[in-house]
Amino acid sequence: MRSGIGARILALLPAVALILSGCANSSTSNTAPTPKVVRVLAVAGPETDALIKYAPEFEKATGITASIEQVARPLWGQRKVRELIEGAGLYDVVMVGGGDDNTWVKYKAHVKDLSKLLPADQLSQVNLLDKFKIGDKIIGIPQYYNFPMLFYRKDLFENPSEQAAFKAKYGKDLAPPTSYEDMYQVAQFFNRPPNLYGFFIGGVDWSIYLDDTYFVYGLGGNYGDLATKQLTLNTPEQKQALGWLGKFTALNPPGWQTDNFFDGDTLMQNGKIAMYQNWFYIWQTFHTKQPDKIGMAPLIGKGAHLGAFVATIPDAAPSPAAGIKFIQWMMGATYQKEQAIATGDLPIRKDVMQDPDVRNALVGIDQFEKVLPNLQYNQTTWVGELSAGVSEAIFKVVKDGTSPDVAADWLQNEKFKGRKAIE
Amino acid sequence: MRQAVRNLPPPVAGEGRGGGVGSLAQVPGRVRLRSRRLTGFGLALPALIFVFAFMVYPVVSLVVLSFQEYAPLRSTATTFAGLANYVWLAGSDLVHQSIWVTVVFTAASVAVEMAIGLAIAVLLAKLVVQLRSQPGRLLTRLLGGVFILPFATPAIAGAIAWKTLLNPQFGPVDAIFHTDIAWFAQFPLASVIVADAWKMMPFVLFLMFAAILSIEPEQYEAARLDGANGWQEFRYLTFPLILPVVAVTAAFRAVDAFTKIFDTVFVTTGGGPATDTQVFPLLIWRTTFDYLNFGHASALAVVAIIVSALLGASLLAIRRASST
Amino acid sequence: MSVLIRRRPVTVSRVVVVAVLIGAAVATIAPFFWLAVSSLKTEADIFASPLALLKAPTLANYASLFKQFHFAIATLNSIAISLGVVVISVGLGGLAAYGFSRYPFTGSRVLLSGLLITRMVTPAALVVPLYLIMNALGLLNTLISIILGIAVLNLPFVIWVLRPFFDALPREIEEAGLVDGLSPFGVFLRIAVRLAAPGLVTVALLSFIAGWTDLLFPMSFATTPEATPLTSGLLQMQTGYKIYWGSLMAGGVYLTLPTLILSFALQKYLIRGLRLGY
Repeated sequence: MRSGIGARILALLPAVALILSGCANSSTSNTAPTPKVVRVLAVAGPETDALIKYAPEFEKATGITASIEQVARPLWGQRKVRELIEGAGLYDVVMVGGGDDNTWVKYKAHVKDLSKLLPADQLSQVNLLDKFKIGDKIIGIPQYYNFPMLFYRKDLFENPSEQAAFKAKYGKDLAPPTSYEDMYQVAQFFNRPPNLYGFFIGGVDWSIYLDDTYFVYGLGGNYGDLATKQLTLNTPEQKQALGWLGKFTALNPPGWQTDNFFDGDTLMQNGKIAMYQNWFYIWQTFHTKQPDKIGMAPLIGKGAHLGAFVATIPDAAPSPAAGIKFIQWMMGATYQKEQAIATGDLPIRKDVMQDPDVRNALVGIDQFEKVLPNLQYNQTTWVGELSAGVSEAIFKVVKDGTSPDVAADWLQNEKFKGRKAIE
Repeated sequence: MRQAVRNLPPPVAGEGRGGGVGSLAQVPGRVRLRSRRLTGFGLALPALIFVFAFMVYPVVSLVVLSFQEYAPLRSTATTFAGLANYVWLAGSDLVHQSIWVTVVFTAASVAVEMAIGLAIAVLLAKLVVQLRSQPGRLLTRLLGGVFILPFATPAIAGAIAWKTLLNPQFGPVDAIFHTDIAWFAQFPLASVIVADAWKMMPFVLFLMFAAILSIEPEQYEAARLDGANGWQEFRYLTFPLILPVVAVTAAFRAVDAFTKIFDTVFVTTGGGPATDTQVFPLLIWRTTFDYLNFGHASALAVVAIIVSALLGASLLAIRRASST
Repeated sequence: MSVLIRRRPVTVSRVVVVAVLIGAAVATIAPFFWLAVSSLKTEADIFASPLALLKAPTLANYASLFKQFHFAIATLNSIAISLGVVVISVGLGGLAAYGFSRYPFTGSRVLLSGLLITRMVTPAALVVPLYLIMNALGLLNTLISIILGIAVLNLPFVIWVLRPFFDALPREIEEAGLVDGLSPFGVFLRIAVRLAAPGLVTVALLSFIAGWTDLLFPMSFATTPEATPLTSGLLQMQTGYKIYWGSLMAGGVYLTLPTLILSFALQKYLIRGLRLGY
């Protein structure tokens, strides 16, 4: 009855387990480089979707299979470090964030110098290439450019009765604001709960940190100083940014604490908010679906957050040659044009920026061109931990009502006491 | 098998440990004892080696690492840091807040699941006793299957289920009450407590259930004859009798809640908003994999293990005390 | 059953008892029920009509699990991990529990107490050194590392649960086996295992559940699809920029169904295991 069977099953189980784990593992246990595949580490998002969508063209042209892996954002940080610092050697191309990873990749990561591996004529076409250089070494090539812009209810702004009321109240014309004070006045003017709210800032930590960067870079500040290597978390710009966050979140629709900027898109489309700041990818949707309702204006201030995925090749890449081919395709005019039209992001190439099809598709490109030279990135090497701390400071201001000065000083002098921008 | 039993020689008066039988009686007591001990050790050895290799040794290396600095984002070198990590730990608001959150969570979660589990166990026991018929037994089995559900659900699936239930945009709770409260954002700790109590309630339930059922029915008869109603019966009869089990269960659940809470929080609030629900295991994980500071993480982990060991030891003591 | 003296109050209270129990059962099943129902709606429907039960049921979310989120490989991985944990736990744990039970040796009591304490170790704390060790051994992104991590925390629990089972076995049969010339290991394999089968089934079931439901070790050790099981595979749908709600719900249901069926069918063993674990 049970005697032999039990023992046989017991003996069989290890074999089954081994076979299954062997099957599932066969590709990772193969360490010999296979030039027929390029392994790309990317993070989930519409730009990665575009890479995946057009990858067959790359495959047809080079005969190399593109294995593009999408990782969820919470796990992306650890994997980037595993590949670029610890040299795990699983990927040929690792996409990093242009705005927040820029500094640590330059100072800490083991990546190949692309200035020696990519043709000069292609490199010269890349806008803002200097942002990705440390000395003469090029650490990566951006996949696209994206940065925040200001979106507002065009129909309300152009409404004569609104204009008259605004003029009567504030003594100036109702127009897309050009200073934060203006923006606050307009937001207050349009704050009419429960149907309309003056502003929107997503309250989820990573989203609100982004909004903080809009204000900080806009005011000309940054989180670290590259020359002195010090943290700059309680500069006047930082304090003002915190102050503005406190003021603007008070004019938010309810439930904003759990929203992120994607929810802002929905709120704007549903007519619930008068203004908000967001990456301009959404402009394509807005101006095709609701051209008379929603307008776009440049972000206020001196700088904007550089949004980009940047393709790097780890020193430990198993097939760097395949990685180079992939990057060459990605930065090529054909793909850049396809991507720009598909995603609404800016291409990286100067020639593609002038392409008439692209200029037609990217309505407002002339406004983008004004902002492009002022893109900023975080000048610290540990943005993961820093942004969590910044979010804490922000919550002190917006939730607990702490004064921005106190919160900023706490951030610089207590929370991150003894830390440096470049560690 | 039967053959072996039939051939059993008459039992010899017990020699040494375990009572000697058969051919073993011929071997001198001392030697047999040693070979028995060796056998026992040999049988346990593979497991001991395994635990040593993958728990004891790692914990030792953890302690060593806690006195060093290793943060790949800064440098790939490992340098000696003395007590620096522990000094940081002692002074860090982040750590204090995390411990506080974990304590609050543990206390509330265990209280909720004990109360609910006990209540259901009492009622279920009543049902089992009263319904001896076939449909009654089927009902009990069905109920048992339902109540075991949270245990069978993987923590991440349970967390997703609660996220769905409490979602302000499409969750039924907000839809039914016509509110748009974002539960996990506005009442993060409370929501996590509810989700975790739901998940852990079966442990309490079935333990209490077994304990209640082990009370002899005669006691209940006597109580009923004395005119006790349901509540009095519980308060003066049932509860005092199962109190030892309640105490041990609560202690076990508290230790488990304090040391193992991770999945639910990670999937629902991620420790937020800000650090409002950043329980201690989550802080350790975040320090390791987000902040990439292994020195700090090791110090945190050592503290966690010390706490676990202390709690485990007190648990042993409680268990021993309550079973006497 | 002795005659109950007062009939009417008992009847009334029985109805109340059943009603409350059914209410509690409904509340217990509500989250999972809602998850299951929502997983059959399209994502648009989920947002549009939250309370509608089954407007236009669709299996699209389940299909997406396999098309987009590598659930086929993940399922194999989960099975392999769970079986691996069972093999190690029952194999090593059964032997050890038998040894502790039948052949106590000096220090075995101390070791057993130590085992209880190791059961209380915070898994997140253990992950830190194990991560570095697995990295050094080159075992990251393999199923082995995950199996080892889960098994080492499960093993003490298994030994703790199994020992009473072996304690309760009648010694005569084992002694007879020894007389017949079997080695202690042979006695274990042929006799004790058969007699303690219910206990072994219990711990096998509990070990399988431990392997199937663990999130921490897969999440920390494995980041490639080849080594990712279902639990951490679900995290892919919370990308940080968008949540694929429909797929997330379908994935949750898919992940739960096997343990649900197992637990319902093997209720008896599970409950016994819960009781003995404490």
